[in-house]
Amino acid sequence: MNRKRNLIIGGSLVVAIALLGVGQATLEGVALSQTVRAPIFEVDPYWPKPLPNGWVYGTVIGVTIDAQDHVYIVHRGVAGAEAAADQDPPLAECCSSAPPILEFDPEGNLVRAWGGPSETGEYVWPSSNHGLGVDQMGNIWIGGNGPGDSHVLKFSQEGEYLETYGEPEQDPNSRAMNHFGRVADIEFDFDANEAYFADGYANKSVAVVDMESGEIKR
Amino acid sequence: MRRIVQGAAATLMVGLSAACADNEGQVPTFEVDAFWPMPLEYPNILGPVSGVTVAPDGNVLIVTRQDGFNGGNEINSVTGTGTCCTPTRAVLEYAPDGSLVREWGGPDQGYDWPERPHAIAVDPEGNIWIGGGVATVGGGRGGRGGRGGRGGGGAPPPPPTVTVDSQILKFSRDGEHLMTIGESGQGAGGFGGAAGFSFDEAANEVFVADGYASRRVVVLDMSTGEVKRSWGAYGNAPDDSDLGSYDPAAPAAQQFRTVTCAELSNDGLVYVCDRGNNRIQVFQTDGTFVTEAVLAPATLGSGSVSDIAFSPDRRQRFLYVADGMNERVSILDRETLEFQTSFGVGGRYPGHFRELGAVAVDAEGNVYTTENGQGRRIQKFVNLGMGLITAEHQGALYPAASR
Repeated sequence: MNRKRNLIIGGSLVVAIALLGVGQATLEGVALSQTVRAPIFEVDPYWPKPLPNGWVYGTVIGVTIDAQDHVYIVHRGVAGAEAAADQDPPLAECCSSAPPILEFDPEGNLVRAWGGPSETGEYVWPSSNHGLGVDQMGNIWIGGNGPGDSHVLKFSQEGEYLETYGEPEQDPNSRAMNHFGRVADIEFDFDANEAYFADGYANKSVAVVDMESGEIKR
Repeated sequence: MRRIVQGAAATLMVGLSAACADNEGQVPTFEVDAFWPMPLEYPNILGPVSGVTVAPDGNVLIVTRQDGFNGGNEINSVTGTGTCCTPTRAVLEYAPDGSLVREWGGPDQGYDWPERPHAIAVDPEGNIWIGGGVATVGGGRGGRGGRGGRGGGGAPPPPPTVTVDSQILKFSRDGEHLMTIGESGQGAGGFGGAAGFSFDEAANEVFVADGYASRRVVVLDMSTGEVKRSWGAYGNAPDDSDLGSYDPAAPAAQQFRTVTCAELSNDGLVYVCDRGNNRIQVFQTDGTFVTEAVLAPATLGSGSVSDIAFSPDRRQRFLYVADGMNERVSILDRETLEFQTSFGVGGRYPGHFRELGAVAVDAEGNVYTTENGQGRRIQKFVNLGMGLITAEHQGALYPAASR
């Protein structure tokens, strides 16, 4: 079921990329040799609904969808004048950086907001957020593409910390079996119980990981 | 701190119609139209939008800056790294339906285009006035956000160069250069970033919000551009001294910090945005101080009063104030300068603001806002008529079906 979903999403992306190509060809005045049958869209600028608490997004660097069609994003937060209300003293009444992980229901309502560095030091939050995946249990996997981001974190749907896969703060090594190198995205093969990491910005490999043990299989 | 408006404004109270009385306590209500304006032709994108005005025929004009793009991955059709995007020309004119009518202006066109264009206004003859600001070029103020790189190291950046736009340009409606008042590159004595204009047709005068380096309202002869008079806060003689950072606990500054608007009302009052002091000061056209109002007095940074626009009714009952630090449009009763409600909140979705800088109103009461810096857009808020609003800050005004 979930795998099928992922395949469908992948397929849609391929079509979307193809459509972009079609659009470009049209703009350049190149006639298509044949009409295509393709998914048709319109933008909904009123999705999602406005965030509470004067929260704003920073760079939104990852998106994924779970089995209930809840949409999860990860963003990098805002600083300086854009986070005027976070300064000491506050520069203005707006705005504050929203927590990095935001979950929306299909109607665009914010369901949960969580994430960020551990207050107790039990995990190392990425220095630069990048990509996330949601597994069949509803757990959220998070990579990163900043310095020291040689690991992947797993959280429950509610944002409770569960696991760290790979050791943080490791130098790039695409053949290493104990860490990654700035993982940019995470997808799953639930039947095989395998996670695929796009690895990444420092390493140059695809890492396939056992979803139970977190061991790198190939 | 606030005084009652005397004189002309008060006499307008006489003869209020019954229709107005029906609206007692009500304010204009709005929803954002996320589909206005229409998309630009591929692959064009807007730069930071620093000024907006509505022409008498209802067309909407904006002035944009062409700096501030991320050269690494944004203007790829310029840098050769991809097929999108290319900045538009500096001035864009939209029809009321949101279609682009024309674009013109910018550097290297044979006239002295401002380094940092800031203001755009249409005079009674239909000509377009353009002012500038103060640009800090290069130096240590690199782009914010970066690409995850931190620590960097390396040689310290060179000191920034500060450029003051000390000229004002006048164009025909279709972008033909007509006149330049002052010259670029002047220090004290020229204009210091002319950030707003309004016009007194009967007196043939232009009121200039001047500005960032200068700190005054200056009145020009509309035909010749000659300076006729100028004034500072409370009608004092202007003083361009740098007042330093705003301190909410300090006594009210006796000079302007940053003058970003000077709007003439139908009843002959000049409303001045003293942005850095979080206040509006009201004057008679000869510079006599009338009253003032302070908005969100705890606001630091660039300040809470960037631009104002009047409601289109003859009385100009409401004042719309663009607050680019708190990222909202405040609605004030013009006669009392009392805050009524606000709309907008920080963010990048419809009805949200990122570096809100300017506001304008059309004859139907629709409100247009523009976002500078990284915001880079114009938004339209459709006037839904008068209503009772209980929220102090209404937030993003999505259409009812999408709330």
